[in-house]
Amino acid sequence: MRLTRRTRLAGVALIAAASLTLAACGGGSGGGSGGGSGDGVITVYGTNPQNPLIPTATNEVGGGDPIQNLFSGLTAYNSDGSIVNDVAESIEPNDDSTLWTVKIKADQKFTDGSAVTANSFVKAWNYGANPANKQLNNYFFYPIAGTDDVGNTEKGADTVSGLKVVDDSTFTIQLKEPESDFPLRLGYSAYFPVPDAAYDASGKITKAYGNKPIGNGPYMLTDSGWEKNKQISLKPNPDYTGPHKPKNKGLVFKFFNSVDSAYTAVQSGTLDVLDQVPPSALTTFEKDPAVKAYNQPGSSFSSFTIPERLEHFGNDEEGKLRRAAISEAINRPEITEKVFNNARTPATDFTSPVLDGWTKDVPGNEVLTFNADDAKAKWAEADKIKPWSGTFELAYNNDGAGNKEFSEAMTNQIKNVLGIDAAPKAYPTFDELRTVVTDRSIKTAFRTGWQADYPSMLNYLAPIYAKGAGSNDGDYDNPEFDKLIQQAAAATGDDRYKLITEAQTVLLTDLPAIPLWYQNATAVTNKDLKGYVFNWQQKPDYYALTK
Amino acid sequence: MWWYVVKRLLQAIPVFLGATLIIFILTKLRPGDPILGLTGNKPVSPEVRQALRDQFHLDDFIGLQWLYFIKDVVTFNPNFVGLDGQPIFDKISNALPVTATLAVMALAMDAVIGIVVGTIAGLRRNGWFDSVTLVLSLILLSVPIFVVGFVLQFLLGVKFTVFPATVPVDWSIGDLVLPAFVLAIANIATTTRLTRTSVANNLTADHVRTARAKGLSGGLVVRNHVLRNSLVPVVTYIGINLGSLMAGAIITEGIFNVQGIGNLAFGAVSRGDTPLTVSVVAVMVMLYVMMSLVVDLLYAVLDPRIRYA
Repeated sequence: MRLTRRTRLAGVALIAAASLTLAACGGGSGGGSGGGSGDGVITVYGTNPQNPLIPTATNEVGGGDPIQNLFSGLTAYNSDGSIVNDVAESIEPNDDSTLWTVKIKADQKFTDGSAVTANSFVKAWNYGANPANKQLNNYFFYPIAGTDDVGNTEKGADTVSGLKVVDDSTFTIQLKEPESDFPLRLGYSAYFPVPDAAYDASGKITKAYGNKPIGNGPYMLTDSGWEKNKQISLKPNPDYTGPHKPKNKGLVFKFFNSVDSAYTAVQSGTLDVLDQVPPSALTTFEKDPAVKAYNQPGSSFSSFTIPERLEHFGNDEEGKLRRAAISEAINRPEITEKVFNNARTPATDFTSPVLDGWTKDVPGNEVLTFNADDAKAKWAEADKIKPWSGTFELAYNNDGAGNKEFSEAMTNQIKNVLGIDAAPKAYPTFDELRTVVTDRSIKTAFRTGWQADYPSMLNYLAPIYAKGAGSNDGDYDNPEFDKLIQQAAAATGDDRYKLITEAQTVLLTDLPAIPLWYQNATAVTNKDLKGYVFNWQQKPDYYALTK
Repeated sequence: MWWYVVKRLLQAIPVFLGATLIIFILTKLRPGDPILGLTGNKPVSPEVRQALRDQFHLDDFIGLQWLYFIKDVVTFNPNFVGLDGQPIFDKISNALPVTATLAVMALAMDAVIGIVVGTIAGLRRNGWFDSVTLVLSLILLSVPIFVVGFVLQFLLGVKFTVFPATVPVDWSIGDLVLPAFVLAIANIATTTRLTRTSVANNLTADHVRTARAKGLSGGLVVRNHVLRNSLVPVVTYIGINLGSLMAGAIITEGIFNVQGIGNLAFGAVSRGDTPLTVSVVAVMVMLYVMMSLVVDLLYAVLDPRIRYA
């Protein structure tokens, strides 16, 4: 529906006009009161999960949010992204952080009464890594020995050779490379345990389980559970002993077709929590008397990638000059203010300000500051090497809010500063853009973004810019960067952050992707909702919500 | 009569096959890889991607894919799933009741308001009431449905909380009043104009003059002689509209968060979920076919001169 943005705008314009008229004649009262359900149960925004509720199968928020509440992993994330042991008693590395020994706390139970054992984890991970099971989260297992680069078990084996069960409460994980922050990963949903009840006789996780998962998390499904296309209802799990003990009497993920209609539901008091603000409400939500508003820098990173295959943008002197010139031709603060109403923060590096070790002083990041004169000079210098020809195009997917506006604004800036032809190029949907990006047939620059899987700066760098990495859409290849990343992965403390900063400086020289901004975490809640805190994933800590 | 109904129902079979084939080809012509839509910006291993493509026969010849689809539909295969692994029949049967209720409510508002207002305007044609309804219906026809939807939602749902602003999951008839009204608005205008013209034409017909000459009261003449004949085109319009109400509810369902067929269709198209898209559209096509049959049978009731032998 190509109309949506215009329709929203038209709607908003009319609503604005209508509300002005109303205000003039002493308008009505604010929103209604109370949530849509029983006492102490919090209603939160959700979308219908696109996959069965199996930890290794779900990689999108619709299923991810409920799974995070239905299961507990070895570690759990605090709001600031640090970790605390949850199911794990201890997670100990050997000297070079390649072999990890996990011990599980005694008396951990799934809600069907069966024990959470070492096998509950290992079996679930083997299942996830086996390509025959078609689990979308299989790439989470690629650091473990016995899998290939994309996380499939080697040679189609049923099991990952790097995982060994020692006894009921102990297992070991052999990694391919040193990884000192490995436990940071283990709070992510792909690593959750699965009970024996989930598997059928042939060892496949059943459809029935995917519809009514049995977990070990802070919450469990109510009797109504997941009502397709309607909602998922959770109640506190009485046997849960971990750090995220629910303070409310339950959660209901209500499904909405559009964030706009969810926003209206918060305004009118029928929804308690909406963890994102629709573009149509960005200018007004912080002043809206009917809601409580939240807005702070968040963890998702936006950029655009110019593949090295493109003429004039190779990994050479000319290419580097042109990338730097384009980066300096973009006035990021202007776009974050004008297009995104300050719901984005201009980027100064390739990671995110919510992470431990982040600094705004990465050497070389002046290339991310608007500088028209320098941009022109660099472009002219590149022209001496080889004269510029053609149009600079930026591809975006039209089904993402704000993409069209920022692509138009940005290509306009580039056009005006560098005096070249620049234009946005629309792809109707996300998967159409990803298809041409993945098969390398795209002949233009394209927008890219990253939402980290676990709160580590390395997770913003290695999966995207390391040679041959799964999300390395621009085929960047720099041995120096790869070496720094590997060293950082094995180091700890300040050494590690120093190495990460050096690696980022390499990226700022080569600009395999051009950083644009960090997306702010924005949310609105019911007036009487308490305890809303953003965690590092820009989601609320659901267990702490009360009203 | 019954033979006629059977014949019409048999005709629905080629319509169904043809329609699904066309939609199937159209959705397949859409570029992009739905599997990548499932994985987002994260990498997906070629093996997993291929396994998923095989599961949905994405690499087979289009005709063959369509035959797989037809087989699943005709045999009511409970394992017939969309790209999200959810059974399609469940999804549709969950979404149909609310959309059907919404469409019937809209239709009722449309029929009652449209016919009553149209009849009055037709009986007093060129009077002030007629002129006011003409202007009003022109306004209603020219304002886009989403503007009306958003404005009414804001005024009646958010500002004055007369109606719920969005439709909750466990909806009741009361929750659907506002969306149904928004859905009916454009049609009410058309129905009003149609009825008005039709009534105005019939008022000068010979049999009406005869009825009046026999000394029948005005009300009786209008009810038995004018309205019955006038309603033939109106019933056609309203009946055919039920189909478009089902399909045209995409915008309204989006505004009011009604978890119905329109939403299902919108989501399926934007995700490139071919099996679900074709199934939903097939349901809409069948509704159209059924409604046009019902309309044709209603003619016979309204106008005894029409007989199906």
